[in-house]
Amino acid sequence: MIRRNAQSDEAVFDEFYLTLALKRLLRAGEDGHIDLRSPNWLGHDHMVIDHDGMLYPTDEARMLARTGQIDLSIGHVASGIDAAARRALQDRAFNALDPWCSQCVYQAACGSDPIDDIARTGRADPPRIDTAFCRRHMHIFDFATELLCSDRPDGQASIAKWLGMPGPAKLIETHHDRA
Amino acid sequence: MIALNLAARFEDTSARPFVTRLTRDGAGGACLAAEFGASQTYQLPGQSFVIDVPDGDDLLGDVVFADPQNGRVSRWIRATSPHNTLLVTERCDQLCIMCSQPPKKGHIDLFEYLEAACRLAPQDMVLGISGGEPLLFKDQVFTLIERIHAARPDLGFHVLTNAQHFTEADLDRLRQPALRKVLWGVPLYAASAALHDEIVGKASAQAQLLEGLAIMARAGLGIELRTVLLKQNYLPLPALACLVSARLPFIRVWAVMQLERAGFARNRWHDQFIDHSAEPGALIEAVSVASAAGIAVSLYNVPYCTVPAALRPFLRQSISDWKRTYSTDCLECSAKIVCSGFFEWHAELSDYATGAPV
Repeated sequence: MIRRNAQSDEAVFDEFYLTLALKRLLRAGEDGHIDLRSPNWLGHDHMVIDHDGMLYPTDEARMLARTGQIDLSIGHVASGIDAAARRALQDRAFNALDPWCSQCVYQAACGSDPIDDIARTGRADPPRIDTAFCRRHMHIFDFATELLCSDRPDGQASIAKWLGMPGPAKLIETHHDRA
Repeated sequence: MIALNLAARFEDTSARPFVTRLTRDGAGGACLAAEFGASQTYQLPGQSFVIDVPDGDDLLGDVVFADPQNGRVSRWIRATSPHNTLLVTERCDQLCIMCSQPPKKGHIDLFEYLEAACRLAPQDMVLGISGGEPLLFKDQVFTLIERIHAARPDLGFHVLTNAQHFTEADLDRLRQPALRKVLWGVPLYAASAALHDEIVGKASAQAQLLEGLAIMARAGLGIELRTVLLKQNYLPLPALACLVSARLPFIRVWAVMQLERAGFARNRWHDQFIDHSAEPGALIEAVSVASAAGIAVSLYNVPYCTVPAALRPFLRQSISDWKRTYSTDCLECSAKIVCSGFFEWHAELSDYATGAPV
């Protein structure tokens, strides 16, 4: 994709999630995407209504209930939001106090997905570093940072197109030996 | 150019100045009583005056400041224009090397009239407040905006200020809706404090300005950061973009603008004007750095044909209608409809190496 973007100005291949990661690294307040933000309060600015009227914080939470793993519902359209149930979900909905995240250079750009942690490990408090969320995002942010630091013109050209810049510009200077 | 100050003959030349709206039927203002050719007579209780209307112009609906003793009528708020600016004072605590309206020592307090004019403004209008430095009279400007917000919540304000007069003690007041909804235009010319201070002719100005911006950010004010392009600050523009991105991400827009040949810049043009089209690198890099950081960038007073296609989405038609014109070289150009054009007093497409009709 990066090679293709450098070859032609006509059509730009966009990689949504990589672009989101770049924006999260470079911009303040880029927190409109609920899969990657912290805090990511559950069931407050978004929720899922199932066919039977049950309210869930995310679609994955709805599926966990369907497969019988755990009931993470936060109310019903008829009775309204169950504030206590919703409050109980928030303890891990941010990465600010996590001991692993607090050592991570990407903490401010990264997010938190406790529902995914429950789905995969059966608990809301696995060591972050072992979670699929952490591993995936560590790779994405590493790749995004490598792109930003690279002098390769094709990578810089794609970054410019993805971020709506009029031209390539070196956004991060490295002041240490990366080897 | 549209004339903003008109000679007028008053019936009672001893009367105090007053503010009124020129109307056809007299509703809420002066009534158009007679019209002979270009000569219009307006009447209101105890007074009448005659204005010679400039060719092709329409005064009806305008809010004017009438000064019988000096025989003048000033069109403070033109009904048909989206660009009306009220001058609070000609006094300033900076002396910018390119100032388009060089300050004067004296100050005439017109707040009573300014408030009367705002009350008569057309529905939903955004009014500019400028100077001089308006916030040398901070309490009066705040009070004016607060009183108008209460009486005319439909109106908006755009205030030009050097932002050096905000203090922590202002925070509570700034956080109220009246001042929160103002758009504050604040100039910053360079990342280097020494260079910025030299351009504005005031020691420690940049340090004070950054403090002021921090207070504005804490109050949640809407900020239009303004940077005029000059020979003096053009090449270090990318460094300013880095500062804006890293330290001022809370601004609403960064307006980067070409120089207006007026005031001090008139005679210093050749020392100050930079043809960005001849070396667009610094401008492209600055816009790139800032937009990567999510800063909204607008280019003002920059003619369409003087920038590469990649910069065109950032252009704005920024020159007020009453002073916008096009160069004689622009006659055949098809891009005028989207082009900022030039200031009336200096419209030279030949200033720009790449300038050519599209």
